Amino acid sequence: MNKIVIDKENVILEKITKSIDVNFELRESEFGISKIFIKVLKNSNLFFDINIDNSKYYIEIEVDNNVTLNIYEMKKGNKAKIQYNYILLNNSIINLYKYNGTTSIKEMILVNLNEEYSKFNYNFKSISKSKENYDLVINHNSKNTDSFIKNNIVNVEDGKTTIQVSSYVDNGNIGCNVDQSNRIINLTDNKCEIRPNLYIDEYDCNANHSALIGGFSKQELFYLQSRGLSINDANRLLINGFLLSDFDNVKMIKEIKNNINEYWG
Amino acid sequence: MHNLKINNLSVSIGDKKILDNFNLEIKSGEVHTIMGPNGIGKSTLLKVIMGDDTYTITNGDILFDDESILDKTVDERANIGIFLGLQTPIEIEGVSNADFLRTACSTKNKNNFKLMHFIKELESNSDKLKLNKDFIHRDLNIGFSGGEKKKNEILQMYMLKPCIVLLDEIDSGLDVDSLKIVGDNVTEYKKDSNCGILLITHYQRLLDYIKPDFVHIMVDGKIVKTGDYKLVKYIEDNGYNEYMDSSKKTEKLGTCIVRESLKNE
Repeated sequence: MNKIVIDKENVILEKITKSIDVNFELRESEFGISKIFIKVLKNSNLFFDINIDNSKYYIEIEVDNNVTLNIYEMKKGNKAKIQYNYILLNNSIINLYKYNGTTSIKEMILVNLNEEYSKFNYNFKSISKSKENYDLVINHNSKNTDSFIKNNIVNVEDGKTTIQVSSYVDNGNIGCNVDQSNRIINLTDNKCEIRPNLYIDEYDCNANHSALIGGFSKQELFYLQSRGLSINDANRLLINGFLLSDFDNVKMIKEIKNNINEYWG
Repeated sequence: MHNLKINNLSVSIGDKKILDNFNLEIKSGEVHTIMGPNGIGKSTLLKVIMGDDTYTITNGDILFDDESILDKTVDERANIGIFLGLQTPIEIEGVSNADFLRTACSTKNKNNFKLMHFIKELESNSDKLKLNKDFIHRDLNIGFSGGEKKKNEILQMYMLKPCIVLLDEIDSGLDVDSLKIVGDNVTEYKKDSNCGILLITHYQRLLDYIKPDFVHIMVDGKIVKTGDYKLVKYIEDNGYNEYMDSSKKTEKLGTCIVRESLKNE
């Protein structure tokens, strides 16, 4: 698998194949932002291993026509500011599996579905223990484009999580599928916020969103307890499911399980 | 030998009384069936026995082996051997059937839990219920058909080996073949374990497979008639009208159904 390691201010390319072009500029002087530009030419898997410390990054990924890119991204460290820009061309697909283990993060995620039949699947998990702010903008710039956004976050300790997801479909861009599912399990008294926005200016469009902030449902807990699980075991099992569902990368699963055990072990 | 005794149990939710001085005793080896019109507290009874705190117990007691279980939590009740098979099993994303059952069985068996024995037993019980091999690795009840959900409840019963089994409309949503499988397996489990069973159903068909020793008619939160299997046939032919409060009786007049209390208005 292609691998890019971001270790504080350093970018290390590991096992990068010819299917991916990577260029980067470290710490652009004016704002101290490091930039990484990736162009994906053939079907690829890409692993991002990010360890950040008070750093700012801009990551741009462009996926060529008829190419599928699977991204596995794991982050740790603290105080990260990252802006992503995903550009999808004709019939291209990004499947993104992402886990945040940092303390304090601000992300701007820009998705441009520029050409027909492009598709963006976003699957994000985090255990939020301080301020986390995620702003996703999904532009359906062409007809027959799809976006499926899923954010699952558990809010603990001093966690204050805000998610804003804005999906745009302009008039004339028919046949788009726009889906947002945002869920924060808030185990604190801190304020969390979800702002799901669907800006749809086209009748021929399938758009859905769900947003939920709260604990696990009483029925779920009752069901698990009725099989003999203590309330702690039931919560741990539910958190495991919430944070591990849809993920199949062994390294990511191991990291998430370790972090789950820190809190609910 | 075990017994579950319900003494003068009254239960409310908010201002609404659901169970009213309810009495019943279930001993090992006995099969009790409760029948009755919709909405008269049958499912509530089972949830209250299991410890669902949605309901308030205003009077009476529930005894397991002559000791009150009212102060026991849901999981404590499960771990002394009470099992509730739900009418609508809860779907939990990300939690696999196998993880769930392994956690439940290891909690129940503590230091005596042996993984290999668990796997063999799980496979053997899945075969008995004619469940596919992949079934156990799917998320708990997610995407299961009605029949699969009910079979999964019976699989859990097999694995947890309860001595008192409460089954809430376990026949609903089952086709004739699945009904036979579920019925035969409950009967086999009862024969092997000598457990006591409390079964709620609306139809005779399940009782063709699980022969009840006692049939109770429940109306307005209490048992109004107890009999043997013949009572089931009588109810199938005549309905519940003669057991109901006159204000709630229905009478057929042509094609209209008119409530007795409305006829004088």
